[in-house]
Amino acid sequence: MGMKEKFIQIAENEQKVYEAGKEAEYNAFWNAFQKNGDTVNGTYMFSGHGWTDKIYAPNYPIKLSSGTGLFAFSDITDTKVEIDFTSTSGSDTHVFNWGQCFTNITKLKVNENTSYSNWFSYCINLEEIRFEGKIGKSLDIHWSTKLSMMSLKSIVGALSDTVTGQTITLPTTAESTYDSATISGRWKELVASKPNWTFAYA
Amino acid sequence: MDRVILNASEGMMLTNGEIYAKRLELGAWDSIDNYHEIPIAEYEAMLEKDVEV
Repeated sequence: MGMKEKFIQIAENEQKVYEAGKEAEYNAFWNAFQKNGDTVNGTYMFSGHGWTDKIYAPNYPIKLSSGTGLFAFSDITDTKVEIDFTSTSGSDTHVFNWGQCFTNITKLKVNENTSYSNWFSYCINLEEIRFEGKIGKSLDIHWSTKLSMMSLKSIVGALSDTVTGQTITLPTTAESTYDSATISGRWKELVASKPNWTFAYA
Repeated sequence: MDRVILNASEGMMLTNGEIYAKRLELGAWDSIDNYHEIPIAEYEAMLEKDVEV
């Protein structure tokens, strides 16, 4: 290959090399930010309107030692990865507070010790959410009137069968959403499967 | 189990001081005596105060 052809090839590859370098730096940042997937203190980690889908690109599931305000007021639409609260003290609050852009919370890993004070306040666009583990404390997700049938099933299915004195607060649309995606009466059957919970609709 | 069902009156919310709802289906542990009605305006004022981080 002559010099001219070499220069042409270098010029053609310049953008690719630049993008590869940029991606490598981006990955290095996220690896460091997430401690290569180890447990992190996530207090207000992704809070504020500056966090958008364009810059939020976790490389690992997010395993937390604490998570108060984790995504509060963020403009992210999708958590993209599992969020694990099983190593926290269980007292985190406002996790998705005013997360008005969220449509998808991929997976929340919780246990019966996890409490949910103001976690989903004003998450008005949330459609999909999945829980892994048991919900053992009162949870209010009534702002999320667009929750899908599968999301409602995941929430109710995760409610502990043994705790007492707890309430799940859902949107008033829950029953119609569920029954219209399944068969009329299925919501009542689902609710009946958790006699130890009070169901509130707001 | 037949659940006790409570529906709030027009313009009101049901509450036990922690939970607020237009409709309640009580769990086996719960009692109608735990709840009373408040105006929706009072509920909304409480929300504004409560959701700030």
